[in-house]
Amino acid sequence: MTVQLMLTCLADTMRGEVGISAVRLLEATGFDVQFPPSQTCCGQPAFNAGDRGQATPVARRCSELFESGGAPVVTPSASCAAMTSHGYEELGLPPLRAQELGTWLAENAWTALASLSWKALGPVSVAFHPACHMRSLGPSRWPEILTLLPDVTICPLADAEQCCGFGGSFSHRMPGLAGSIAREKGRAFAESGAAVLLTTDLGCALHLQASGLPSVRHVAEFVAERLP
Amino acid sequence: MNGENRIADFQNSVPPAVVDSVRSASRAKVVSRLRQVKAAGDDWSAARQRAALVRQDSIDHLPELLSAFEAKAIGNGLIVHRAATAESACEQVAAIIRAATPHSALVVKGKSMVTEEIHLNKALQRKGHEVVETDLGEFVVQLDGDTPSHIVTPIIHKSRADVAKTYLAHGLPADSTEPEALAATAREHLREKFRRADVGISGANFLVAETGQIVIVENEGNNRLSTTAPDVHIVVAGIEKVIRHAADLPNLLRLLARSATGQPITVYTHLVQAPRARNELDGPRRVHVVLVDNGRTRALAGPYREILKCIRCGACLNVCPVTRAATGHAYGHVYSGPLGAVFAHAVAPDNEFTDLAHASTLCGACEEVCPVAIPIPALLERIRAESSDSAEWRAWRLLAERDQLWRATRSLLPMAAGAAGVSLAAGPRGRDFRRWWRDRS
Repeated sequence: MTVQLMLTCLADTMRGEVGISAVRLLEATGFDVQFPPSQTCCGQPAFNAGDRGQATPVARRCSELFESGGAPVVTPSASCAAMTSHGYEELGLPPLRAQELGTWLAENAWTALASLSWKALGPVSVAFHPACHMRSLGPSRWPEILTLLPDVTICPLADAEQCCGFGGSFSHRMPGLAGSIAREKGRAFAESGAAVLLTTDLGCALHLQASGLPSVRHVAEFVAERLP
Repeated sequence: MNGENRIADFQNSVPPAVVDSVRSASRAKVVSRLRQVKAAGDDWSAARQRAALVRQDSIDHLPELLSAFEAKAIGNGLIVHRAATAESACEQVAAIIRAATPHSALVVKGKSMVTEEIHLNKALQRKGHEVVETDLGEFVVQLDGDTPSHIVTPIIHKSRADVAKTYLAHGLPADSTEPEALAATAREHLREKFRRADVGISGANFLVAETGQIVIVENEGNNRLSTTAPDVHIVVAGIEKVIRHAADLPNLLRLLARSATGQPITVYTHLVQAPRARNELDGPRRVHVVLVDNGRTRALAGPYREILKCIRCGACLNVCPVTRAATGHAYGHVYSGPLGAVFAHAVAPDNEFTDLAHASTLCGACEEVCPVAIPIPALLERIRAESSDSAEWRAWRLLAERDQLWRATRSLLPMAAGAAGVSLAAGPRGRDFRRWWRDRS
């Protein structure tokens, strides 16, 4: 089965490894991955800021680009996935409904995931923070996927669903508030006893890193590292 | 950056101890709410949808329902007043008090956010009346000359030690910081006020059009005592409180209590229908209702009308990461949190409160907990859309629409972001995806 990868603007500009990990996970579970090279951004940054005038043409371009590809769209970002569903509806565009990577894998390739001989890279404890946009997409499936990894212990994270403070343009308009909220996440992480904090979205990961949290990674990278 | 947003500015100056108090109390309330939600199981979602429909009916037929309520209430012996503005509401309450007693009155109050909204206490004090808040939190707020920082728990920003300090500063005993001791001190002090009061003022949680009933919920009992011991009870209520059918009350009251304080139901639920009847031994001889507009009709006609469905549970305040980080006082409005960020702007005649809508990560936690399913993030985004500045995003759009330009400038973006003060990281960038993709094929 073929899928199209929506790389996300953040992975494109800040951390290509997330996109590479997404491709490896999809291919390891039996999907053919297409990457439409003219993709740029789903339009969310301007939409959230309230500038529909600038957001709509960018969103429309993204929607048409992937629609013409024909295959389902998968993206390593809950916020982009939510934008292409609810955001596009709000803008009066046909919703693209890009699927968040963890949800796609769990729903369409669970048997394949479960039968892979995942690498054991040494005991490590992790805590998991689902990005806020998972609220509108349904419970994240990454915790289940993480249980497939040998040597990985999952530690409960207090207030796991609480926002990390990124909020797109919020974190640079209001850095004091954004940092304060991030530090709260940092406190919960420290209390969890986990060595690594995994998150579904690069925006969260980058913001938390910039706010001083140690060992924050995108969950796709962590999991893909353990592919056989 | 500074001066652009009152919440961000306030957050810079609020003492950490105050934030800690708000945060830990908020977390506790989130936990107790979740316990109730889990216990309710599937019923919670259905209950919420029913409540959302009831409140949607209220805002879709507000003038008709208010008239129905008014007619029924008058038929039951209540006296109903309409106040278009805050000033008018204060004037009418003052006039009722003047008619009730020729001298300066002693007025006891149950907790009412709408009376805070219209600055009623100050207006009555200016006319020489003594106004005493009898809700424990509001009592402390009044002693401090402070304002409530939360619509349900007015002194969430204070610790018990703070309350004891306030008592001592006003000549009240405070040997212990145990809640029972603090409450007992207030009770003793207030007993005499209840006894002597000329007028009792309360708010209302709901107004029932079908029956003309006024519904008031409370946990302390002070509201009941304030409004039945004196001869005159004045209810002050926002016009959006009206609902059509009494049969919808049980569902709404269960949702309200569970969302607000994690209780299955509040300790007291009062259904006020009529003044003291001829054969009754107690209760107020006259009951007045002042229906306050103060911008609500304006909000009703606009794109944010759904915020008027709010039943004032405060769950959104408890869960909001911004409210927790900055506290309710940061909003500079009687209604704070996600509710306030929409309400304040929706009822204001100008753009005084637009900045509140920008101090949000749009995380959606508020919408998730709202018992009447108000789509708060969508409303916040709409407020932002009203005042957005295209110049900011035009350059971004230019790049996003031209993928060759996008690819060429991609590596510059993090630097540009850093120059603009964007707090994006971070660690090593790792491999470039497009190069990796190109090289493998």
